[in-house]
Amino acid sequence: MPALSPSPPSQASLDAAWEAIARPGGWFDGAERIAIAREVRAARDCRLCAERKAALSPNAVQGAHDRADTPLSEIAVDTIHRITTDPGRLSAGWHDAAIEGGLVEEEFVELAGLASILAVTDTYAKGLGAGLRPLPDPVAGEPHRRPESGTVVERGWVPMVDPDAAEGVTKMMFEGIQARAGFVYNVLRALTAVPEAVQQFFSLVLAHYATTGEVHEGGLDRMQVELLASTTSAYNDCFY
Amino acid sequence: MATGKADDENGGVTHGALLRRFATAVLSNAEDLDEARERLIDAIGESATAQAASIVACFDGLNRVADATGIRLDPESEARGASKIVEILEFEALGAARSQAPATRRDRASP
Repeated sequence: MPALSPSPPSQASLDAAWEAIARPGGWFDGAERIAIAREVRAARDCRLCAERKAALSPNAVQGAHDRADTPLSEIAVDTIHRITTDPGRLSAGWHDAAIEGGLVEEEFVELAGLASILAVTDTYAKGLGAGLRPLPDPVAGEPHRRPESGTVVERGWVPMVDPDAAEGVTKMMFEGIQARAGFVYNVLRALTAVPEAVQQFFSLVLAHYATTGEVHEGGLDRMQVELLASTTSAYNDCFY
Repeated sequence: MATGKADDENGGVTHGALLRRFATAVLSNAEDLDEARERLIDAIGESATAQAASIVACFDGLNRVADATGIRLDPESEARGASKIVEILEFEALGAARSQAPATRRDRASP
């Protein structure tokens, strides 16, 4: 059976995401970002990750990852593989070890954002019955490596922008959400230490979401959406 | 005689069992993914099945953002019900759709 066709908004967001992951980000250049994406895909066939996933505790199994041929550090590779293959058992200690191992907090956040983008794009492809899209060639240039102001560590492991101290694009986003919902959701704050990561991830997610029942005639109804969301979160052992 | 079995399987959601099977097959890369997709297409059509793929993909990504950053569930969300994230995504997606699409169900219902 041929693959299903993506909706036009989804296709446009996939194209935009592919351009975005190839460009220099906040803390990684284009080549590093593509290397991270390659490592996400390598993680899915990693034997160490499979053994860890099957173990009572992921820390009980030691060894070397089946990694892609990338220049990424061992700690970056381990972080990518764990986010990709066993997200439900990540811990504060695991995050702290990644930082002590050499990742800057903003690098950790950007890396998590990229791994999450690849989760969306590749899971969508599987759902449609399509093959994985080849990764783009990196675009030359340097990341700005400029720390975002107004970050605090209070609602998770990573620094996030305090809504009361937000500036620029992040402030505008927070004000919009505050006006609609009455408060700013933690999941929308989670990547704000790297504004590009927030913009790229949620542009992709919202474009996909815009194809669903409440905003698209003939679509899934609200209960069906809730069921799919809760099934996915339960599979991933995610409380969110 | 009605047994209620179909309703039990669906959990009160139209085609719930097929949707759950499809989501799980996508996430686990199951051997029966093609069959699960085909049965869902037979039940709800290609467009809605593609939408189902979108939702699974969105939450597969959102779960990783939440888990990798260690965020806690918002106390405000807990007070309103954990599914609030679906509602906020709907708000945001509706805004995006309105800026792109000529007409939607809500546009017509809410002049």
